[in-house]
Order: sequence, then C-alpha cells, then structure tokens
Amino acid sequence: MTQAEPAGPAGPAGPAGPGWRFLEDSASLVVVRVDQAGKILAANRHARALTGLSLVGQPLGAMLLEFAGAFSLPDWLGDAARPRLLNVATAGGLPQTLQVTVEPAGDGYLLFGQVDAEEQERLRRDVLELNHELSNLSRELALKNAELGRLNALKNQFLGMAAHDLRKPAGLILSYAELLIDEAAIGLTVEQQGFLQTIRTAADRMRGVIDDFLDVSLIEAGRFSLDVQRADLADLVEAARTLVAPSAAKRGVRIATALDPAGRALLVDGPKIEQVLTNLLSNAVEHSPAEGCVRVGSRRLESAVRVWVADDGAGVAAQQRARLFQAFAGDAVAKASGERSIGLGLAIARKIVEAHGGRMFVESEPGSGALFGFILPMNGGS
Amino acid sequence: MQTAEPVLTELVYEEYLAALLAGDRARCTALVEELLAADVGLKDLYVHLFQRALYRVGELWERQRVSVAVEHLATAITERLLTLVQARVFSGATREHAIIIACVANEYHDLGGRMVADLCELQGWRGFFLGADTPLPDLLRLIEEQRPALVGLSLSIYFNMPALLEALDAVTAAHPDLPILVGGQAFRWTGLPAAAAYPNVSLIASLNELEQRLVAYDAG
Repeated sequence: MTQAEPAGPAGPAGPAGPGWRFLEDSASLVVVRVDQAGKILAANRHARALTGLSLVGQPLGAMLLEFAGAFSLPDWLGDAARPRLLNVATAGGLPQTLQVTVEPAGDGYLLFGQVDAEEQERLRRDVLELNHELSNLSRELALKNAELGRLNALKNQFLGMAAHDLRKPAGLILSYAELLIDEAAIGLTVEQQGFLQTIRTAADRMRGVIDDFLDVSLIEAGRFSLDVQRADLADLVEAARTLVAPSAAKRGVRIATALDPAGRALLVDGPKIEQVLTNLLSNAVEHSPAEGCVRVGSRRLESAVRVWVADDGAGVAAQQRARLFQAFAGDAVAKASGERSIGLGLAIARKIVEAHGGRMFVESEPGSGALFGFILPMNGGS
Repeated sequence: MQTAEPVLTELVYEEYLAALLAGDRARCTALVEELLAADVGLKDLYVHLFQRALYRVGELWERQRVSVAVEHLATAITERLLTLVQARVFSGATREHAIIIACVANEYHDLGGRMVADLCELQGWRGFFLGADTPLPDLLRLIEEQRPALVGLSLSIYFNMPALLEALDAVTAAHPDLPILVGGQAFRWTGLPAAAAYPNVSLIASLNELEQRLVAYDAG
C-alpha cells in the first residue's frame, strides 16, 4: 500500500495510481470510504454529483432515502441479503438503487456502488413498450373523439332539420284547433269541446318542444349569436310573466315580483334573457303546489345583477342538481302535474346566460322549494 | 390574396432538430404548436419535420455520434407530438376505404407505421394501426373483421425479414386477392426477397409513392 494521500476515497489508507484516479474522477461508479461507524471519510466525484452532497464527514445514511428508522452500517453489513443494495436519494429527485460491493480498507470499508445494467436495460425496454402502447391508445382516442364529433354534428343537423320540418305542421294544428274552439264550438258537445282543448294544449306543448330542439341544435352547432342592446329587467320580467300568466292562473299560482331598482338597466340580448326568465317562471309555476306563490327577485351586486325565481314546490335533491342544466336530463325532476319534462329548457337557459358571460345557479333542498336564478355581468359580458 | 409563405422553413427544421437532439420536449412542442397555429400542412409536418428529423437522428446514431438514449428520447418526443396533431388528422377524413398498417413480429420500431396510418387518414382512408410486434394471428383476425382494401406491413430491421415473409405467406394464403404494401427502413438498400413469389405485394419506397397508390385506388 502506498503512503501517498490522494484526495479521493482511496486515500489516505487506499491505493493510488491511474486506475484509482479514473475511479475518483471519471467513472460512473459510486466509490465511498467509510469508517467502522459508517461516517464517510471520502467520496469520489460521481458519488458527490449523484447525490448533490459533499458527503465527507456525513454518515452514510445521509446519501440514502429515508425509510423507516435510521440506517445502520453494522446491521446492513451483517444482513445476509445479496446483492447488497443501497437506495440513494439523487440530486435529480429520482431515487436510484445501487448494487454495492464492500471491501475492507484500513479501519473501515470501501464501498463500490453501481447501477444494475441488466435491470436498467429491462426497464428501458419496458418503458419504451409502454410508451408505444400509450401512443397507440391516444391515437385510437383521438380517432374516436373525431368520430364522436362527427356523430354529434350529424345529430345536431338531424335535430335541426326534423324540428324545422315539424314546426310548421305543429303550428297549423295549433291554429286550426284554436279556430275551431273560437268559431265552431257552439255546434259541439261539451265532450267534443274537451277534445279540441286537448288537441290545442298538446299542439302547444309540441310546438314548445320543437322550439327547444331548434334552439339546442343551433346552440350546439355554434350558430348562436347575441344581439346585445339596452334593456330594462322589469320589462323582461313583465313580458315573461305575461307569457306564463295563463298557466299560473289555471293552477291558481300567484307571481310576486320584487326587483332591485339599482340593477334594472342591462346590456343583454333582451328576447333571449326573456326566454330564460320565461323558462324559469314556467318551471316554477309547474312545480308549485296549487294556489302557491312564485317569487321573482333581483339584487344589484358590485358589477353584476343576481336574478332569481323561487317556488314552494318539492325541491331538488343534491344529486339531481348537478344534472339539471344538462340537455335531456329531464328525468331529474317530476313536475307537480306528474308530467315528465324533456329537460332542454334549463340547458338552453344555461347556454344563453353563459353566452352573456354569466352563470346559472340553483338553491334547493327536497321539501322546501327551489330557487333558480342567474348572475349577469352589468357590462353585457365579453 | 397574399401568397402564403411556407411556415416550415429550414430554420425551423434546424431549431427543431437541435431541440430534439437535446431532448428538449418543451421546445419541440412549442415549435410544433407554432406551426399548427400557422396552419402548416399536416403532411408537410409529418414528412418534412417529424420524418426528416428522425431520419437524421437515426443517421447520427448509426455513425456513433449520439447515444441510443438520445435516439429513444427523440422517438418518444415525436410520439408525444403526434398526439397533438392527431385530432386534426382525424377530423377531416371521410374513410370510405380501410387500410391496416402493422409492424410484424419482433419489430419494435412502430413510429413509421403509425405515421403512415395517419397519412392514410389524411388521404381520407380509415387507417387501422396495429402497433409494434404484432402477432400474426392478431393481424389475420383484424383483416377478417375489417376487410380492408389494403394492408401495409412495416419493417425497419432487415434481420426481421423472415417474420415479414411469414406474414406475407399467411396473409396471401388467406386472402389471395388482397393487395399488400411493404415498406420501411429495412428496404433502404434492398428490395423484397423473392418478390416474384408475391404478385400482390408491392414495395413502397416513399410516402409520396404511398399517396399515389391510395389516390390510384380511389380513382378505381
């Protein structure tokens, strides 16, 4: 053994020479010299670079991952497991497992740690294969997305065409039923007049559904634009109230309005916001108990207005609330009349409100009524 | 109307290649996103950026200039970038005919095959892609299921030629009239051995040639 004292792990008690200089300066091999207690006396360049630590003077455990309990060199040396492994915490953050050969050196030990090349090769192959599989799966996913997009466009096209073609005959049925009720009812029995009323009501409902289909197909196809103008919230509420007044009167439901004077002047597409209000009001009337009261209110917020319609109906359970604003989720709430809705009204309302830069909300508990509403920015949105 | 300047310039290619060799995924992604925003032609992107850069990386690897890790990372980055583009690739296709692209058994270099399948989609075909190391029974089963107009087999390692010939034998035995295209890096310096034995098999030397074949098929 040489008496020279190289700076690396070989010294002061270790050997020296060109081979050792390679180990100390260049090799991708961890070489550390420790004393009997596991204190690091010297470490080569690779060990320091790998861990990002100076290492000398620190316990061997300092370069390892912290698992349960502190690392003990005597315990580790006494463990019969082979190959000896050390899980090193690297400077890059990814742990690395080293296979370690231990050689006695002076009063302590020299530890030579290397990565298991075969394991690395297997790992690399597996990662590459998994990446290929993932790429193929995302290719299939992109393809399926494109096909779904095409099918959705086809659905909207069909919906729009069907609704467009049905609207005229439905309107004719409605008009002639009304004409017959007005002009020919005298010659009919009470039962026959009842039939005509049923035809009129059904045709009216059918036209409403067809209008919803048309709205949805336009919105989904992206052919939905806003004509933003100045409008008075009170006028919009009044127009909606007039539209639902007949059905409210039929069920004896009263509509009470209390609007905040500060938030009435809006920059909105008036007819569309009126459509939202009509939808909320007619839902509230339909879900109210007979002889109940529907309350319309508004409050000016800092830069927005909050508008709501409240009823004393059966209310909405929490798990149903999330689906209320989705198209065709009409099974979510049964009307007071027991009739099922196709569930487009709220989906359309939401699209209109969101197009204005606002949002819809619902507050309700089963058994204690429901409060539906929207918040609109006062500047008309972006 | 102004004449559009080509967006995929030599400068962009050089910058992309440098980023790819450095394993700089973020820079490569940014460059591709810029090109997509500038409405680069998708075929140009595949052929003049992805393929060209990968061929260059492969060449540097063969000359011992870059490590296999660099080559693998460049492949993985390109695969990741393809997912950015694929939504556009699939959005326009009409898919009247189907083509099945597969890498034969033991072939793990599947990126070329996937790009070929995507380019078929751009041509309006439904490009099924079976991926690396396709077991022969899986290939035969998909052919039965989908009844494609064409089958394309990719081979990048010449020493896997026996697996390719085995696949050709099996496919032609089951579907004697089904045209089969073969191609890939394995054919850079050689043709198809015993080509005369496979009258329905054509060697496709380039993506342009493939495109011509698809157009010719469409034209009847």
